[in-house]
Amino acid sequence: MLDTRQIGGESLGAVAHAGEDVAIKQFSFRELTYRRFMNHPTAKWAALTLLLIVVVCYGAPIWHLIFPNFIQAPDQYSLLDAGQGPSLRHLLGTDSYNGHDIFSLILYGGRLSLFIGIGSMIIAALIGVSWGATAGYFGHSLDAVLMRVTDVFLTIPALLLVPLAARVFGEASPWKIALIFGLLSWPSISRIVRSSFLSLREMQFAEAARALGVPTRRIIFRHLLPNAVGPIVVAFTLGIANNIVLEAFVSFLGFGIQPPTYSWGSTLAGAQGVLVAGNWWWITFPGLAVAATVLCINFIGDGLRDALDPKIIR
Amino acid sequence: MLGFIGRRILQSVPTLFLISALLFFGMQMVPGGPEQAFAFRSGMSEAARQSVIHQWGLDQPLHIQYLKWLQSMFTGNWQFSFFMHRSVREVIFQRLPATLILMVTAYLIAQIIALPAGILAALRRYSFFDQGVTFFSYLGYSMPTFWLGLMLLLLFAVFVPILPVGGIVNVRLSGAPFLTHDYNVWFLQNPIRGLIDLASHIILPATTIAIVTIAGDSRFMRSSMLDAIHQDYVRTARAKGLSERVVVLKHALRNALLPVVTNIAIELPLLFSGAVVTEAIYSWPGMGQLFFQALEAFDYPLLLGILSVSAILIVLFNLLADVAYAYIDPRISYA
Repeated sequence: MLDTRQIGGESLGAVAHAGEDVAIKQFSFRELTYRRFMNHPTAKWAALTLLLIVVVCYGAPIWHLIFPNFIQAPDQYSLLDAGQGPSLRHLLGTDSYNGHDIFSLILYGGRLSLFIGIGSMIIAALIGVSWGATAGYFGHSLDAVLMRVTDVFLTIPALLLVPLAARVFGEASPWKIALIFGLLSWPSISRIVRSSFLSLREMQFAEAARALGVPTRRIIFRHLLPNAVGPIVVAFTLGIANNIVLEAFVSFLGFGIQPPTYSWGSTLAGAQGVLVAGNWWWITFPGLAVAATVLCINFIGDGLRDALDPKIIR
Repeated sequence: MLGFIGRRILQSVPTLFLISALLFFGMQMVPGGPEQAFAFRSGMSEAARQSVIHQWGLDQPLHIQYLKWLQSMFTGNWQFSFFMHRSVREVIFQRLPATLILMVTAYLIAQIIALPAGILAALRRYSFFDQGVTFFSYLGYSMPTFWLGLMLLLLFAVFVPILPVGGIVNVRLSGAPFLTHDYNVWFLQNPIRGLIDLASHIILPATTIAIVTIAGDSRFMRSSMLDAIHQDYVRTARAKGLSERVVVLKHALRNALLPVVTNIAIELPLLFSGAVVTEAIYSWPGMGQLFFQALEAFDYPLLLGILSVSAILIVLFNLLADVAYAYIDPRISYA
C-alpha cells in the first residue's frame, strides 16, 4: 500500500493513495536514517561485506570442525609446512617459522582484531560522552578544566603512547589492549559531544525542560544526548577502523598482542624479516584482511554521516 | 589581533605543563621504573648500582626529579641519554635532519598532487575523475601505513630490485654513515652521486607517506571546494556574468583554501608520527627509529625528550593554525 521506494532524503513522510483514503505515514528518525543509509551507493554493500567478515571470522572454530583440512586451530601447525606458498593444502600459504596456515590465522586472528576495535571504542564512547556532556552542559570553568585535559590527550600521538602504555600494563592481553586503546581514543569523542552540547543546551526545548524542573541528569541523557547522537555514531565507527589499524601496527612491531595469541597484527609479527626472501603471501594476506575490513568500516561511517545529517553536501 | 595571539599563547601554557607532568609521572609508572634500565647490565654490584642511581639523581623525591627535568628542558641539554651516552638534545638534533628530509619531500609531493586533484574532483563532481579520486582516497585511507610500506618494499626492492631495501644512504658508496664528518666531506666532493643515492633511498618511504597524505588531503580539499561552490556569493558572481575562470579561481577557490591552509598547519606535526611508522619499516635513521630504539632500551630521558618535542610541535602548530586562520579570514573576530 505504501510505496516506500519513493522516499528520498528530504521528505518526512510518504503520501499514499489507496482508493479514496489518503494515509500519511510518518517515519521515525530511526526509520529515516535506515532508509537513507540503504540508499547510499556503497554503505549497504560495505555493511553486508563487514557482516560476512564478522561471521566468517567468529565462526572459525566451526569451520575448523567442518573443514579440518583447510582451517587449522592456531595450536595446530607443522614445522614441515613452514614457508610454503599458497596451495590447495594451504590456501594462502604458511608462515616461515612455525608453519602456521595463514588463512586459518586470519580467521582466528580476526576475532581479536575486531574485538579490540569495537571494545576499545565502547570504552572510549562511555568516557568521551560523559566527559564531553559534562563539559558542554555545565560550561564555564569546569568546561575549561575538562577541555585542557582533553587537549593533553589529543596532543600526544597515540601511536607513541601505545607501546609505552603496553609496558605499563605488562603482558599484553586483548582486554588490556582494548582498554589502552579506549583510554587513548575518548578525547576526540568528548570534543564532538561537548561542541554539540554547547549549542544544544541553549535551545528552547532544553530551556523548557529546565523550566519544567526536569532533573539535570535526565536533561543531559534524555533531552540533549539523542540530538547529538549522529556525530557520535560516526566518530565511533571511524574510531573502530582507526584502532584496528593501530592494533595491527603495534602488534606487528611486537608491542601489542604477541604470538601464540593471534590477531591480524601479531600474525604479521616477524614477517618483515623474511620479506627479502620473497615470502610475499605472509605479509600480503593478513594486511589485505585489515585493509578490507577498514575500508568497509570507513564506507559505513560515511554512509552513516550522510544518513544522520541530510543537509550534508556530498 | 595581538591580544588574541597573547590569549592563545597563555592558553597553551597550562596544556604544555599538563603534558609534561603526564609524560614524566606516566613514565614512572612503567614497571621497574628508570632503574630497570640498568638492571640488564649484569655483573653490577649493589654498591655500583647505588652509585649509578645516585649519580643520575634517581634517589631524589619524584617532584624534585620532575622540576630538575623541566629545568633542563628549558635551559639545558634535556638531560642525558644513558643509551646513547650523549645529551638528549644532541641526539635528537642529530636525528632530526633525516626525518625533516623525508617529511618535507613527502609532504611537498603530496600537496602538489592532492590539492589540484581535490579541486578538479569538486569542479567535476560525479565525473569519472571524481569517482577515481574518491576511490583512491578511500583505498589510501584504509590501508595500514606500515603494510603499504611493506608492499611497496616487496614490489620495488624484492621482486623488481631497482630500489634499496632501506636506510638513507649506501654506506659502501661514501664509506661513512649519513651526516658524519666523513660523509659530509664525501658528499661535497661527489654531490651528484650523493644526491642520486639519497633520492633512490627516499623514493619508497616518501611515496608511502605521500599516498596516505594524498588520500586524506584530496578529500579535504574536495569537500571544502564543494562547500565553497554552493555558497550564495558564488551564485552571485555567476549571475553578474563573470567568466567561469574568475568565479572559480577568485571567488570559490580563495575561500575554499582557508580551511585547507589551517588543516595543513595542524597536519604538519602529525606527519612526525606518520614518519614513525614509515621509518620503522625502512630503517630510516630519523626520529621515529630513534623512538623505537629508545623504547627497546627503555632510555626514558630520551623517550621523554622525543615525546615532549612532538607535543610542543603540535601545540605550536595548532596555535599557528588558529592565528593564521584569524589572519587570513577577515570574518573571524579576535574578540
